[in-house]
Amino acid sequence: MKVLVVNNMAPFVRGGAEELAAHLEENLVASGHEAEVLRIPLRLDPASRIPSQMLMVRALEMFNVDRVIALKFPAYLIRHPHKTLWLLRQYRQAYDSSDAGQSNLPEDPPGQEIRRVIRNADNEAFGESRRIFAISKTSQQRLAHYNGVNADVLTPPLNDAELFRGGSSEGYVFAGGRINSMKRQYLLLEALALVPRNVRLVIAGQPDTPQDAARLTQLVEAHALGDRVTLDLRCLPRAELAQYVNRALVCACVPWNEDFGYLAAEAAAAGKPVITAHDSGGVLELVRHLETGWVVAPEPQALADAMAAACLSTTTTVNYGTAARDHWFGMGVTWPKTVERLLT
Amino acid sequence: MNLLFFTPAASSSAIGRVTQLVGRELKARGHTVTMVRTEDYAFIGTPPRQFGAELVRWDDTKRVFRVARDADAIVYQIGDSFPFHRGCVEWLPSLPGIVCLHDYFLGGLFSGWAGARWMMAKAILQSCYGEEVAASYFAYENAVDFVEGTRERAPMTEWIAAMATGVITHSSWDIQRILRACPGPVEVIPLAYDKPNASPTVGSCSGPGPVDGSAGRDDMLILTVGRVNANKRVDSVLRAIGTAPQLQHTAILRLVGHIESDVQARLSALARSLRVRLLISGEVDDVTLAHAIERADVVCCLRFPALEAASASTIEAMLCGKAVIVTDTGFYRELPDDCVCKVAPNHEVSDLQDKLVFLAQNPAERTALGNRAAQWAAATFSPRLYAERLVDFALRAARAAPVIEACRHFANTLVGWGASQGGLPMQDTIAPLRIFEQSCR
Repeated sequence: MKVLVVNNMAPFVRGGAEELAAHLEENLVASGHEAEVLRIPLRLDPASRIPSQMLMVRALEMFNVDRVIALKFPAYLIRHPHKTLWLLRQYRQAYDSSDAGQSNLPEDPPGQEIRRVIRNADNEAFGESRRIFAISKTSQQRLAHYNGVNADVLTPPLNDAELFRGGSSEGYVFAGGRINSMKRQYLLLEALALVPRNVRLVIAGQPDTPQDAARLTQLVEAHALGDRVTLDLRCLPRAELAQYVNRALVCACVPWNEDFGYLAAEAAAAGKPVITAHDSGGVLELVRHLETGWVVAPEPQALADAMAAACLSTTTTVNYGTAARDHWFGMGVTWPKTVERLLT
Repeated sequence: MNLLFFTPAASSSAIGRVTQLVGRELKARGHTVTMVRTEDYAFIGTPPRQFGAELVRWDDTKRVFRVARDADAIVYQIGDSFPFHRGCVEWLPSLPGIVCLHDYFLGGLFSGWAGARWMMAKAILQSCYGEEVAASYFAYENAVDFVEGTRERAPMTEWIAAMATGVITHSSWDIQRILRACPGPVEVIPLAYDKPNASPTVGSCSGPGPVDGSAGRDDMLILTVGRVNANKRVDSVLRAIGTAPQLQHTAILRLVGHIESDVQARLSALARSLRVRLLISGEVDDVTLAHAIERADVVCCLRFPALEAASASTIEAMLCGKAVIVTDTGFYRELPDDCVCKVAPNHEVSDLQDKLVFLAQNPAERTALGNRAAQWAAATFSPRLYAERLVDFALRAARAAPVIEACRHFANTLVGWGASQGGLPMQDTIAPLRIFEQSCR
């Protein structure tokens, strides 16, 4: 079968979704299919340019393709008679982020019009898809709430599970991945200022904007955390990121309403527990409070207490990590099963 | 090139005459021409002009599809008359083509078309001009109020232009509307016209003839041609004559064209009260009209407001070498100052009076003016040039057609997604499509 995986791209930027698309292609080929990834250029800022990019995707016609697996907005607007959605990302700023006042879509009439166009286009694309999979219960519930769509959950396997083998702890708290206000790494720095001086924090990943980077460096200076914090603000090779995870005592992942916690899954695979927040969305499907980590309020003091607890009793922390690994592997999330379900 | 014209064919349609002239020139250049006559049922049975081409009725769907399928270009002759142009608006949406626009006001055409499609018409009004205009459009009590109330706010030119793959118009005075509405090329080409029924000595035989037996050789015969309505300004002509002692005993005003009985009675009464000699000939055939123009000393082509892209009667009068008086507005303003006399619309009666007195007292100037007009008009309103430019334009429109189709596709997609007109930030939305502009214009 000829399977086309359709994803967005920002030229010269690669993230988890790009890795997932590449691994999906590899595993489709490994399963005996022909597969390619079509990457469609996308820029979401300014928001006024979104409709034209949606139109461009909609105008594409696929031929010589038996199946399309589309991953993201607006790539999933592409037309094909046998299209499956594995929904890594809607344009949440037209949905829950907008309701939470965290959208780049203005509240003026043009902004409302863009929001309406995005939602209607999504509904059209969902309606013409043969099957829709969500990557977590969080995104499943969002789809049901905003679009009236019943999707099945299909948890993404780790792209490179072999890198996350765990290892002895060097005693730091690790927060990895993209850096922006929605990921809320700043909360961890504010928490660090409230815990004993033996707790160390490593934040590693690529800031979305210079402002996101500046916010963290300013917090480090303001709270005089320089000797306890490592800010490795760049796009890290996967192996380096995995090294940070493997050598951590505990990982911290406190995004606002994330679809799926890739970092939490990687941490679990490496046998590391996770500190997360009540409102972190899909991360909560992988972290059980005081079993595989800590689930606390998204506030500096609560996070400080969790970080302190993790560093105080390392035996408990290691045990939580083991339980996290058991939970993750117990879910049976593998590429062969994933490919099979996507092509059902 | 195989060209298919949607056009009125009735002999009373000046636009039909344009088509006849252009079609003849196209055929002379080796092109193939087919005609679809567009009159509504009340007129479609009238004897057609001799186009020398296959003639199909607009309601003969099967044949229309057949000739359209074989056409390289489809050309719609559109003016502000639903009875004459019904077939154009019936077919233009499904067989897009080039529109030759003869009027910049299409309220009459639209109203006629809207009669059986009220909801669709209202949606078009809302889309083109907004809710407020749509709500009041059909509420006018009479034609004069309707024209006055809609000619600037909702002339409906955008409605037609938006459906066209390109627009040829015959003057530029209100072309901005077309440029905004038409996605394809837009071009001004002087109207094609001639004087087919004029005698070879036209221009030299002016002066009253048998029809105005009460006139003397020294009288000045002033002619106004066309359906007599308010914008022909006949009241003003009567007042200009009636209040000028130099004109009262020498000027005769003749009206040729359809006139309603109540209008005839009112104008006759006004003429009597002003002691102006008024001849009302009513609707006449082409030969009689040509003869009337020949006999005239001055042809008065006042219009206010101006609604047309070009005036066939004005051009015919100029081609016949007559001294022509026009209102300094619209198409008429674009005529050369040394070929016609122009009357300022805000000093209409006094300005007209001055011009008439001058022409009455200077027969030689009258003749010279007519000669300049004839020379310029013959060079400008040329069927040969029109045909050549139409073919070039059709090729440009054909190049633009795929781009227009793409734009329509995108627009329809956006509408399908719930976008309203003007709701989206359109500049950013259409920016990626600008790469096509060069080939479109």
